[in-house]
Amino acid sequence: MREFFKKLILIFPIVIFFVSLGVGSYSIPFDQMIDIILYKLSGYTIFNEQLSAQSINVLLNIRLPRVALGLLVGGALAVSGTAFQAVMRNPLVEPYTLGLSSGAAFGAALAMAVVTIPVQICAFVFAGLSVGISYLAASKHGETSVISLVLSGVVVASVFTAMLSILQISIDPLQLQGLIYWLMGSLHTASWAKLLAVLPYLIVGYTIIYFFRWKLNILSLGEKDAGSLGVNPQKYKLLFIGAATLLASAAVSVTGIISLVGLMIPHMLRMLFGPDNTKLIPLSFCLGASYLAIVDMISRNLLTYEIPIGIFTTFLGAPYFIFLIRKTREGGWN
Amino acid sequence: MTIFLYKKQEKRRKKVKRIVSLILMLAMLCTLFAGCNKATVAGEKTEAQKTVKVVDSRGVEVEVNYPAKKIVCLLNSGLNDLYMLGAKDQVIAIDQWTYTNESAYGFASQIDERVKNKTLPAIDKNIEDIVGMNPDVVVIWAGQEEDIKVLEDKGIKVVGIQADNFEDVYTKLDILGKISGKEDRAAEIAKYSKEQLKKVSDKVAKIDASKKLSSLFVWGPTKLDLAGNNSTGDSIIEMAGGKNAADAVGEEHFVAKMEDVVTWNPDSLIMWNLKDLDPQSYYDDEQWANIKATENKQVFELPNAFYCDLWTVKYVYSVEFLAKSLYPETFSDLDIEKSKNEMLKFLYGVDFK
Repeated sequence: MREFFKKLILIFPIVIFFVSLGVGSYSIPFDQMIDIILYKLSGYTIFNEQLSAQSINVLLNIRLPRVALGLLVGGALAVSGTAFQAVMRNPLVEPYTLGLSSGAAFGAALAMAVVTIPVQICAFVFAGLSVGISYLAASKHGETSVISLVLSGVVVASVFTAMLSILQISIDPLQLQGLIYWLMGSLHTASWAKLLAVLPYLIVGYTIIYFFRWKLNILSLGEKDAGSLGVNPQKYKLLFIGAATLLASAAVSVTGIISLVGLMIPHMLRMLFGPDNTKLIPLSFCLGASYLAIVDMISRNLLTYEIPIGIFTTFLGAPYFIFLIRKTREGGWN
Repeated sequence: MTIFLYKKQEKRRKKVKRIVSLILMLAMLCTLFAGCNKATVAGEKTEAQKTVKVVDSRGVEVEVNYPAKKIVCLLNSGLNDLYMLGAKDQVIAIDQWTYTNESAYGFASQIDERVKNKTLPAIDKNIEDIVGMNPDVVVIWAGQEEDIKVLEDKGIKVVGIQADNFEDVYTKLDILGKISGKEDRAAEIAKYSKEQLKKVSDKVAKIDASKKLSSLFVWGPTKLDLAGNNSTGDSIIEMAGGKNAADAVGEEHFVAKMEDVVTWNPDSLIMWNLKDLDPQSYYDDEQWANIKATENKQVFELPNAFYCDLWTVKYVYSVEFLAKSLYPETFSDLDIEKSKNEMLKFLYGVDFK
């Protein structure tokens, strides 16, 4: 049964990808959708002799980059959450609760509104800073308790939110409006240009975590046990934190703050398949990607105007977070 | 005998001294009274002070000293109205934005020397500054409810303004005319604007309904921040003879879905004057490639936030600009530059550089 679920989750993104491509306010029948893809790949069609330029535009330039970006961002946030939880041995951490999202959002907003450096790089620098401060503030004698890490994450998030507020009151009101909407987390400005801008960062982050994922299992045992098994815990901790930060900050830089995806997905998977990170990393990517693509499908079809996707993920994730807090004992990572 | 005479002289000297001291005391008292006036407390209403009652955009009746000689105006469009009304010298403080926005400052400094020299105080959220000025009235956006409450609690008269449509623009002008004692000028400006607008509407009325072009009004900051129905963006399209392609959306300002834009396929796009976007941004975007507006290069940007100001009667120029852009043949006789200069001269009495 577990194997069946595993296979289902692995193929889920492909199914969601095609369903998402077929759903939207501009109607493109399924046969036309297949023909457009075939036409683009081979120059031939099966069902229709003529295709409308508008349908091609909607499918290939509007819907496809959005669906692809949704899948990639969802996968990145979930993988980032899984890696953070394993490295920090804490089931409650993820980019949002660590203060990383707020740090990255501040960095990205700073790059958008004030300084002229690439958004992704600025977001990564401030995301790294926020994770570093959260982790160091919560560590004492080499140990980090579950709750103190979450609390230091809250404090760091507050500091970056305050800095973001300073930025907000000092920019043009019209620019501010756009910034606030972006902060809520949205995929509505997705384009090929955005996708290509963020893809290298996502590939690098994901590749590092994927190829070294078995070491996450050793790090999960704690620093002393990891050291006795011949793994340099500090080196790999730094590597995983860096890669997870890169994934999450790249995601935030294009979509704004999409919260709690990195918390829900890894936890669900751990309940189903146990704590083995070699399985959890690819599964997190697939389920995270599918989850965000489904949420985006709802957000872009529910009303006549766009609803920021971050609102939905927060509504869905918040009860889950409360459930996890109540379930988790102080210092518990079992 | 000598002793007796000496005593008599001494007595007389004392008497004279006493009389002189009395006279001097009386003189001092007189000067004291002469130097005094009846005391009044600054800011206290005198019996002779006339007042006027106005109903502001909140629906609240406000009684203000008439004419208000000390006006704090915290909205740029209100400040422009006061300039148009000729009540420049009655304004004692303005909003910070007028100083920080390059374009707004550039024009305001040509109207008001105090703005040019930065001697007219700007208020940036500091309520104490306003209280210290003891103004007759504070003109502020009606949406700033918290600020209004604080001011009113301190006994300051506040007129809340909201301008969601062009009717509100005239209401605002009328309110400011009443409190500044420039009612006649307010009526003159309203009459002039409506006459100019009629010239456009007369021509628009002759355009066949089937030939009316569909349009979208872009508020920005992104390409998809549009105006739904019941908005100034919607009104401006209608007045210029177009029809809002997004009129099914009830929101005043909403973020549209790109797929809906493809479905609407508008003939033209009208952009508010935006910092980070221009028509070329649409022409270069592949997602907009098959939209009629971009295919036919029919994306127009309102050229300047000052003279296209949609929150004052200058909106009339925006209507003319858009009508001329959409229907160049119908409005071939409309010299848009001349019309703009005449309007600004009439409203401000200034030849702007």
